[in-house]
Amino acid sequence: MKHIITISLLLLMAFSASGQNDAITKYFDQYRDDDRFTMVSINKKMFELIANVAEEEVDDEVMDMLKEMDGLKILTTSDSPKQFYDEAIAKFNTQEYSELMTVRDKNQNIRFMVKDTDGGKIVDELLLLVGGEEEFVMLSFVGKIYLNKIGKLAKNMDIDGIEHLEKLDK
Amino acid sequence: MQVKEFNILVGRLKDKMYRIAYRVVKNEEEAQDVVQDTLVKVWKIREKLADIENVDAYCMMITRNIGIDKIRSRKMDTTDISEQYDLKSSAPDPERLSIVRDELRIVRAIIQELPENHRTVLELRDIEGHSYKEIAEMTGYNLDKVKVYLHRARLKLREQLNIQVI
Amino acid sequence: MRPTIDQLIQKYWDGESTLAEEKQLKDYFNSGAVDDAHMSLAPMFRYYRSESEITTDFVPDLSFTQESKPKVRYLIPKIMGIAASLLLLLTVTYQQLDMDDTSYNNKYTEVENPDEALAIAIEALGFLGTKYKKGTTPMSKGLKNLEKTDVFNFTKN
Repeated sequence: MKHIITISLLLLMAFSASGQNDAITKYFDQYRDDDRFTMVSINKKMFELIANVAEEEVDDEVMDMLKEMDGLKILTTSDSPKQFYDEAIAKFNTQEYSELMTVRDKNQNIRFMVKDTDGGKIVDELLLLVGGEEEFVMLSFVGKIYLNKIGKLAKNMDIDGIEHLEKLDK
Repeated sequence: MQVKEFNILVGRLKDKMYRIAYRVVKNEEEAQDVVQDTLVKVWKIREKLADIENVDAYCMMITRNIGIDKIRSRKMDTTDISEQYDLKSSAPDPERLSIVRDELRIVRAIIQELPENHRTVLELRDIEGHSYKEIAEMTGYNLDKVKVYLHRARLKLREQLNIQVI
Repeated sequence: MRPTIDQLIQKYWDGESTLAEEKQLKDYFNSGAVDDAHMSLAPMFRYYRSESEITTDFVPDLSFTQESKPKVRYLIPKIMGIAASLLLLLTVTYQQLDMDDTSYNNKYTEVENPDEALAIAIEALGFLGTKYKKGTTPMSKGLKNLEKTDVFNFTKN
């Protein structure tokens, strides 16, 4: 019972503290009640809780990232994905967000956008815009995102060819 | 192994785990803890169970080991074992109950006096009905030892019973 | 020829009885028809039987099988694209959350269960890492050089 109260309090605090007015929140809010979108949000307090529930099950690289994260939002729709992708590209192509790269993977375009205040390897927000034929997905990672650590997240994933690429790298 | 299969396993083995745990820790509450810990462990290694030939015996081995760890990790309790040993058993015929109870109590007391390894093997064989091979796997004794311990335990039991009953 | 009870008992003492024969002995001694000559052994076999029938009311807490962490591992298929993995995860999450809370009907979820949150975060980071790697590896040499200076300046203006 005590736990439930604590967690609820934390959630409440997190909710009231999440009134940021950055572009991404606005964008998300715009579609929050739109039936065509599925949206999931994980707030800062939740990330702090995660650090406690996670144990040996989680890889170190992933854990390192999780500890520095303040928020994660995922928005997806399968309704006119092309249109929403273009709209998002236009919306976030601003001074605030800069393009890091665009990856073409199969039939998907994945644009990496970053918001970063001091121009270093650590960014404040990393935004992924994924446009495919079937889906448009937007992922926003907020916190201290170390770009040099991101690649390591893929290491333990089971993807054909990755080991091969790693060898080439050396 | 999925949750559903695991639940079936729990249903099948829970009581047996409890009995085995109880005989090691000799305390109801701790025996329950052992069962709980055992189930968590079994769940954790559930993917490996597919390669295990005899899952039930394997689970009993884990139960026993966790029980042994439990008593190692606590200070030795000096309470009289036979007094503590008061498990609910499904009573047979109420009329015979008191006589039977006395009889059973005598047998129990004798078994409790056996050396620990003799007692363990006897209980696994004559109460739980495990094969020599299974007992060897569960206890870590080799087959010959299992047979020797069992034989000695039974002979001791016979000797004591003759004294007590006559 | 079926061995007599006496023979079975002898085998039992000699350590040569099989499990089936031992069961036969237990059955016999727990029946109502035990020969007087065997009575002295009845308590032992009855004890075996009664001990083997002990049950416990203890109900183990199996909530650990419901945690989503390990499940996520199996949920993560090969990262074929975001549709396959993320959407599946989101769907699963909804099905679990939907059961007792109507506030998720508008398809917006503020994740309140740490296990769910962790599962989603791991999935999302895995996706991020995979795609990032894909984008950086073919030109990793060039990128390394860039990182030494400033990787963002060239996109900023």
